[in-house]
Amino acid sequence: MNSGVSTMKKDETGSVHDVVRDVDVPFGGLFGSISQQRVLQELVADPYSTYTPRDLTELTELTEPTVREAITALLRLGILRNISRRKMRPVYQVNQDSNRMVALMFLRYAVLDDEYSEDHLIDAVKCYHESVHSTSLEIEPGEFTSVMYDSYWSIAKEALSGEKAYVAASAGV
Amino acid sequence: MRKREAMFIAWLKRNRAGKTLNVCRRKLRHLELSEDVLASFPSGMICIQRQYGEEFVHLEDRTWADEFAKAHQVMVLHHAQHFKQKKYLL
Repeated sequence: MNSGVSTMKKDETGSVHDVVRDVDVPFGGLFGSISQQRVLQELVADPYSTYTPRDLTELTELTEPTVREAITALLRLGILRNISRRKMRPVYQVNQDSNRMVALMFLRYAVLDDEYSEDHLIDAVKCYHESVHSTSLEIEPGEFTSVMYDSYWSIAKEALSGEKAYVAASAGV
Repeated sequence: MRKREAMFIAWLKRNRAGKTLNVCRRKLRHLELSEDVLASFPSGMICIQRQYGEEFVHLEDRTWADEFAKAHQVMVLHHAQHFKQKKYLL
């Protein structure tokens, strides 16, 4: 995760004063101004697309200077990155290595679940878990023992029925 | 094409399962989709309602939305695979 402290040099994404200011801000300044939150919400809603400042201006219904300010803050936090080679035409993409972004996606599901009394957050967490541990065992240990227990039980039942049949047959004789 | 539609549905779901038609049009344009996409989804999944004189696109079946997004791998960020690649390439 790119923390604010690791980028402690004066560059286009922020000054040293900005970094020092962010240290004391709750959640590293993630939930900044309302405009920053609106831009962040738009990015959380669709973290797969690429955005120009104009796209974000249209989608968030904010003014361009406000969006640019929010973008600067999000670049500094390592949530966004500029993927354009042309300096005058920036194109931004969500930094998919950002753990904060993943956490915010889960927060989005949690908010919806609380509002509508649903449990889609669990599905999202499961989906994430599957994507992270895609090579892990498909059968959980609990399931595996239950499968084994079932097979033993079926064998025992078969043996018992066979024995009963033998007894019945011998009694008949 | 279907992936972009899934991205739109996931976007709508994460925007409290409803947005004004104008904002939806902008998002569809951003995803390079036509407005006809709204009519292409199975019936009963999304609907357009008029509230306070404004048209809203409302996601009716949020469970279907999750399934649709999951099928096209746009439900949660799949940064882990990217991370693994980077880690093992180094």
